Amino acid sequence: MNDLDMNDLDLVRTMRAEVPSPSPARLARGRDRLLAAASRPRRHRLLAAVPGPRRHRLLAAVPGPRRYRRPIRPAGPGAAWRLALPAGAIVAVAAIVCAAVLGGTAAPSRPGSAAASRPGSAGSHPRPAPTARVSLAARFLTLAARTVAAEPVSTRPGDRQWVYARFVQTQTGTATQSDENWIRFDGLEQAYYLNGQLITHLETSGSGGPLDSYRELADLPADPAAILAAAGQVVGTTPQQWENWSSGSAVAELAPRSIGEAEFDYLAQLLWDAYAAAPPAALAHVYQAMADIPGVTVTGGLTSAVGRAGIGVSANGGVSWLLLDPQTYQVIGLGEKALSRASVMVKGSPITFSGTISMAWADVAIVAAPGQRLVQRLAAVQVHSQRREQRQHAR
Amino acid sequence: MTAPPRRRAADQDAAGTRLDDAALIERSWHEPEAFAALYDRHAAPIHRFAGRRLGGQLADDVVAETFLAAFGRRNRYDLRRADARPWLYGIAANVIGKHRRAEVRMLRAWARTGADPVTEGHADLVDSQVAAAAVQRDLAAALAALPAGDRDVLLLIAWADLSYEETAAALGIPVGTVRSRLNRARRKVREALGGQDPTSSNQELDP
Repeated sequence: MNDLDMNDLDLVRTMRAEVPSPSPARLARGRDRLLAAASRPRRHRLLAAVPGPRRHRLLAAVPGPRRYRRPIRPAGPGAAWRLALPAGAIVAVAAIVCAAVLGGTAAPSRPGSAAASRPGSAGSHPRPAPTARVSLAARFLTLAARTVAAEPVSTRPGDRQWVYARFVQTQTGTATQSDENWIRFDGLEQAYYLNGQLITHLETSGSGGPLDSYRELADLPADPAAILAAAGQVVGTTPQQWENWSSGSAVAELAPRSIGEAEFDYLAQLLWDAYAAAPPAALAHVYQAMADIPGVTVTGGLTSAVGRAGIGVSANGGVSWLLLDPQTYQVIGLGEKALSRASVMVKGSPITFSGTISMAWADVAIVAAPGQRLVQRLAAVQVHSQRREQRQHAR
Repeated sequence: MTAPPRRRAADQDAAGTRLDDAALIERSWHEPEAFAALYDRHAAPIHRFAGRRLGGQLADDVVAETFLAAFGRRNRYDLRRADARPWLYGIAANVIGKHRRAEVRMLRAWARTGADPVTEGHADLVDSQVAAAAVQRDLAAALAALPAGDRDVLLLIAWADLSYEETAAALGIPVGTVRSRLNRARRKVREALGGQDPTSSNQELDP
């Protein structure tokens, strides 16, 4: 390492050169996780990826070429149409927005959006009158931001407390799938039932755990433009970067076709991952940032995977949406329309995806120990969802 | 390359010929388990690459996530690309990108204190490396200050030994962009070294 003619690139090559190649034992866990995903082909990857509530995504296995439109770079964060709402106006606006949204306004697609450009789906998404809708979505999200910001600061679970979560996915024409697991808030330990036995295992890092997601939200800047700039940094600037990024995302199978869609997916993923706990102020800032993404729309009259009514917020013309509770404005689910029938070969037989997929964190609770299900959620909702599941299974 | 025990011939065709990555991926469309052979081929170097950027613990997660993501996307792999390394490194670069703050924090800690959090534990430095420690701190500061896209290009080339073309394919950017990012990154590295003799141990350029 003493060569005087060593150039700058060679010097960089010497940095951390002592880091060894990993031992087979070290690689074994990742291999096991891969094999676990590979050996459960009839389940969606989002369920196959047990353990770990993270990184659920829709239609993971759907193949087929994606078609990109030329990426559209919005002309800035669009602060021009963000609304300044005097506090006294909130109630009035709430009534107007909710009436409009709950009235069942169809989610419009933008001109030239995927609905129009993808084969097999033309005509299923009516063309929009974008300006009015954008304004409605911005108002709705501004209202959502103000509502969640006004909440008392929720107490964050302790690092070593256990979070129980039951995840439910429904898909048109298939049985409801449900999955439950436990994760310590710091993400360093997880548990799940396998063949009736509770399996607990340590994680090498808490990366991706509830605490990580909580911090990721808490560390965001307050300014909507700064949030979008940070999101833009993560998702990149080219369609392939957006796709690479979004392939790990639960929010939409449809790859982002613009920086705005990619930013929305990024922010929606942050909120989805923070299912265990989210700082209210950060949640408000994210909603406000979403309001500044051009082309965001809202749709009323939607239901979550467990039958709760919600309002969908979408950046891709209603193809996929983040579902908010119409009263509390908390995230209650995700949904996506399969734009065309697509099938994937699994062990020689095709599995076809079509219709609508919905996902929800059906029950989330802080419990004393893994294996416990102390669920304090609305009993009626659960009964409803159980009946719904039974119906689905009966098909 | 050492690999965990596996079914023999998982990466060979019926005649015993070694399949290229594309053929393995195509096989995994029908036999998902075949994807494990791709893991056995490429997980170790990708782990080391991730480990140099983030430390071993995070590298474990990065590798697992990279291959799970790749597996989920195997149906979209372009089978004309016989070598899957650019594809896998591209996914890995994105997964590593989620830990960007940790990466920069550790580089800054190294620059500030001279102790690199990543290599603590297996630092068997020979004398010349100790002598070059100050240089390395400056380099760490320079890496920390690079825009993420420039750092990705620099490290894919310097640490993962990808070519310009492979780096372009990995990151989904034109080769010309790879060149300009690399030039910019190298210029910053040289500036951080202050144009001094890189093997001199007495320089302390506070970033």
